[in-house]
Amino acid sequence: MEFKSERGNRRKLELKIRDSKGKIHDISVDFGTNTATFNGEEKIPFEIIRREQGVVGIIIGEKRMPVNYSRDGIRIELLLDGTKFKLERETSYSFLTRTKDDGSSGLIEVRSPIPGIISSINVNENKKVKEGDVLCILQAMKMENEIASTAKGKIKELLVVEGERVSSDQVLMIIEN
Amino acid sequence: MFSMAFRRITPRKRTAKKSKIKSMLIANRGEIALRIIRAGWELGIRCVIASSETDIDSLPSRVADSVYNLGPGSAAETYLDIEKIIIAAKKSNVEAIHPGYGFLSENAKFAKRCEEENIIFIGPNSDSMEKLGDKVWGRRKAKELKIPTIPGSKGVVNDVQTAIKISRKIGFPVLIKAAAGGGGRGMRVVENLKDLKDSFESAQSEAKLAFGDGSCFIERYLSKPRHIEIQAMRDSHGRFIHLYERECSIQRRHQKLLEEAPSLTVSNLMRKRMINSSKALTKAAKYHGVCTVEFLVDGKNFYFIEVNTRVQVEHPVTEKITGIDIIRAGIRIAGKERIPFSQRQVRRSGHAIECRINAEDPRFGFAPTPGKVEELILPAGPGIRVDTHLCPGYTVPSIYDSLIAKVISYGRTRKEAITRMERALREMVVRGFTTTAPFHRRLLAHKSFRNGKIWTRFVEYQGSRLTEPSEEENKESILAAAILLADEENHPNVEKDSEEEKDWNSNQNEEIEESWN
Repeated sequence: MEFKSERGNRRKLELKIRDSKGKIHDISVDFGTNTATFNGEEKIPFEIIRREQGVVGIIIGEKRMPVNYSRDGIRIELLLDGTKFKLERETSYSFLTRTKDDGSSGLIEVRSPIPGIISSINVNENKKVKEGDVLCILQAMKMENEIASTAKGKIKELLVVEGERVSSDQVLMIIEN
Repeated sequence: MFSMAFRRITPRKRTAKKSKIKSMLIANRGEIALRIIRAGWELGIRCVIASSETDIDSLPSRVADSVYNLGPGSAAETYLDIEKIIIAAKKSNVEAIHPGYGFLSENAKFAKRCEEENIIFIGPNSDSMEKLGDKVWGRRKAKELKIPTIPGSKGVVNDVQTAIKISRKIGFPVLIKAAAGGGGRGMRVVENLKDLKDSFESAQSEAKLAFGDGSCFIERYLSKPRHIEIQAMRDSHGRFIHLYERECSIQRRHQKLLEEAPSLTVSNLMRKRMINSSKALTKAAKYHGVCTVEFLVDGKNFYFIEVNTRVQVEHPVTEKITGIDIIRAGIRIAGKERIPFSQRQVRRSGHAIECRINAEDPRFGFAPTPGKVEELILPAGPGIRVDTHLCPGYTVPSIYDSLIAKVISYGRTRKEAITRMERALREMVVRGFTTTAPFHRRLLAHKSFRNGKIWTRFVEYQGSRLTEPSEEENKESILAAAILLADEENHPNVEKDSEEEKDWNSNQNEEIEESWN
């Protein structure tokens, strides 16, 4: 599979996935060698199968499986080889949404008001921001829209990359105040 | 000018003899409708399909010689509406109606209406259907013919003294079940006389609470029974032919999931006795057509349960091991033709397995999961047959049953049939909704299944070992999620572009304006 090097491309990504039983797994995905590791185990080769309609299948190790994939924020729904799996991406944000009712969290989610493309990001993780600071630019309906901070604090986590297409109400970043 | 040398020779006609019936209405849908059309064409029959509006674009409706539209609505308003089907047959000018399985196939009233309208009902006459469809008649007749039935109380039991008397007679363990019940409620297994009083009273009160009726039946409890059935046919001239047995113990709440033939445990003697029982019963009911006689087998004993007076979902496994086309036979018998072969000519060889692939989610109590077929790859190759009405782009409707495909494998041995089935399920791709294919993969890999140690409650007993993904499957799902998520991050929705662009130009603008302000 050929990858064009475009904006924000990273060859190696580390992710945390929470399974339906609440167990968290560390996965590292390497697009350079097309291999992934599961909880630090040995590398497993993979390949994504695409057709005109998008991703239709995945090969993991030597097993080829048809796949339907959809994501809503951190929640991932996977229809893999006839079985449905509900998984979550583990982030500091996802942890807090799950324990939201304790009221102690001082975290604010910055959400996208409309669908569009993040054309630029003006902050990075751990950067201090104040009210009114422009966090990123959202390009939609041929207009550049500034997404400004509504609070004073520190960028706890950045959940999007430049050039990413985002949906309405998608969490873009988390501010800790 | 040299063409003279190539004299055209008319080949000897090798096609099957055409049937007496020349046209028929198929009052069914899905894979069985397609199966009947296939048999019909081989017999030179014009096939008209009665189709609900929902099914008008389905594969059987597309391939049938013509389609009669039953209109919109549920099964009750279409395939189950007796008068609508009769009108459809008359308007389509057909001689016969094939009911398939389910729907009107075991409705004696429908068979009677066909008789009144001079339409051939492909199945038994209404009288023998009524008799064999009635469990009380069947049990009584079986007793008369000295066919074993599960020992139990003759009627309802209302007091403990009678319960004790009956239980002593039939022997422990016994099963107490609510007369008005169903689905396991009000059921008690009692191991000995000591526990009987308490169990009987609690079963009674539970039944009273749940159904408003405290009366119970008592019968012998079979701890690990197998479901074995004899495939039979009998023509209107009285010739009875059996096509051996099928093993259908892999079921869930009486819904069969996997069937195979022959059975691993039925001895020659037991088979002979079951066949003789089937012969006697069908004769007593003056039955003609194809049918299945169902038994429960517990150790060395077998007990008659009921007769299914129609073709069954799992008929292909028998076709595989005997080479006899059961659907064609049923049509010929309905046309008053004689079965053209003798019992001695019926040979069986090898082993066949059928996996019913349903649009269901085994993780959630096999709940139906209708949806659109986004991608379809059907298995084929040596020893594999697939009976399905699926095609790419087809949407499995939510208003009918969830059977989407029957995968049938054949091998010289059971082991070979299992291997081929595993290969077929690996080959098969049905993308778009959850299916029971993963359940079957786990089942086929299960040691007890492979050793043939199965009984009717095997699926319930194994529970999550069959319905939940294995550790390996879970690991694959986590890896797949991470890979696709990472890929999405690297390639922000490149493939979604065109779809979203469309949305932009359509009616969404107003909504967005609002949320923006």
